[in-house]
Amino acid sequence: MRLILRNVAARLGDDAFLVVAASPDSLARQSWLWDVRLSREPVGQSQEYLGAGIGRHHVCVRVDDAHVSAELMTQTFDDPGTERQTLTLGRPAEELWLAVVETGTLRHSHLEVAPGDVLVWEGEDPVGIDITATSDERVTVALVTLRRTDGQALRWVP
Amino acid sequence: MYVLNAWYVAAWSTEVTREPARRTICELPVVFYRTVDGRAVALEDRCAHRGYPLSAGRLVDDSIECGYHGFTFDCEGVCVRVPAQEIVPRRTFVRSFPVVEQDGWVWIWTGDKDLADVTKVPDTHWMTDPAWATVTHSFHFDCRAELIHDNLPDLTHESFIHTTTVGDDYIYKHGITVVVDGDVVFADRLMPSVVAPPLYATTMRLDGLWDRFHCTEFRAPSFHVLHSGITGVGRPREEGYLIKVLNGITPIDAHNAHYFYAFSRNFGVDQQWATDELVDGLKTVLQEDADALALQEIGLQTRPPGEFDVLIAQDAGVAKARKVMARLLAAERQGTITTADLEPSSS
Repeated sequence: MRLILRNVAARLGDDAFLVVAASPDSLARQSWLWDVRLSREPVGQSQEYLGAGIGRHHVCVRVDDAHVSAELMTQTFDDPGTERQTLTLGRPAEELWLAVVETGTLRHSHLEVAPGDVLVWEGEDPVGIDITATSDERVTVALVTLRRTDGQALRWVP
Repeated sequence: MYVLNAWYVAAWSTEVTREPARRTICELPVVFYRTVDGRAVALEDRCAHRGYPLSAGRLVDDSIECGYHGFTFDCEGVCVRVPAQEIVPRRTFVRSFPVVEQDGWVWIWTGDKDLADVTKVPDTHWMTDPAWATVTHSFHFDCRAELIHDNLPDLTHESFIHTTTVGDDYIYKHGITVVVDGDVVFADRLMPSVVAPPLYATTMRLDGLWDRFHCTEFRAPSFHVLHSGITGVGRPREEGYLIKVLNGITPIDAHNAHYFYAFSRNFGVDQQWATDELVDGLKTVLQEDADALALQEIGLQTRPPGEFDVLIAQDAGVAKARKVMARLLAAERQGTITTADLEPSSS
């Protein structure tokens, strides 16, 4: 499953934080496992950025650490403007990945993706993530990888 | 609860005539008719005098006369005649609804008139484009509209409900891509190198392997466009046999809905046999959906409080569509529609 949330970062506005993705996505279904927030202030595991069309902000990850662990990293394309680069990221099928596009535009599958968009991948379709830069601007994404601590597959719960 | 500040499909153009016709939309009784010059009119179907349905009356030029005591209302809902006296009491009116007629469909705006934006009527141009041929159906669904809204973004049900027409086990084996863009939700599935389902194989005269795709576009709160088709393996979708399935979902009440359905295709446009096959095949598809959702409606009505759906990743489009609907409902609840908003502007 692949989920693309268009221009979601713009909804942060002047608020303190905005949950851009979570599992479960709706309350009252299953126990909360994780969420990813954009926040004006750092909270927990977080990284500061200046992009996504919203100025200074932090990408923050919260998990139920009895069941889930997470890593937060920054992925960039090194040679913007020289040629259209395609970066292939190998995602273990049992991991759930989430990316916040901070700068530059890119193509993933048949989809054009822009700063402020959020992408979520889970399950087996797809595991190889191809990302092609489509602008001269350096492409930067905040990448969150989530996995279950018991080694089982982490599925996104709507 | 309904999102009222929205356009809903109310009828096919052919259903609105010089004979008054009643339809219930979002629990609102509405009478439809055409003026002498052909304009579609929608008024509250309840006489201001004593509540008699105006649809049981008759047209007098562009006005409608109540069949009980003759109160007569113009196209704006203003009472222009009370037979038993010369003076028409002030405030004698019925509510009138904004109406748009486009591509053979009549749309009604059920909320605040001042918010009725005709540019927000969904695109349905395939219905009148000569490069496309269209088959239509109308169904009454014995279920809440929400179940149809859930049914369309999650097409894995085709593998089980529609086995003789558009279903195949490979559907649920392929993942989906869900895109949320404001209030519009897309749920897209590409099924590479598969056989065409029975109904398509017949009407497209296909065999062998193809790339099949379907993408449901939900325009909350009332309309889905299913961008579907089959193309050569590895070929762009635009090259293929393309289908646009237009689904107008209009609540009647908490447990019933109107379903206005149009299936437009860009292949075999002049072939009547293909149209005939699709008329029958698609009627089967819709009846299967109607039967299934009626059973689901019963299941939900008897489900104990506190139990919830167990959604899975394939339901991502369903979940996001529900969120959009919830957001629209919440936004409308925060606004206030006063009685004054519902009065005719001339009163």
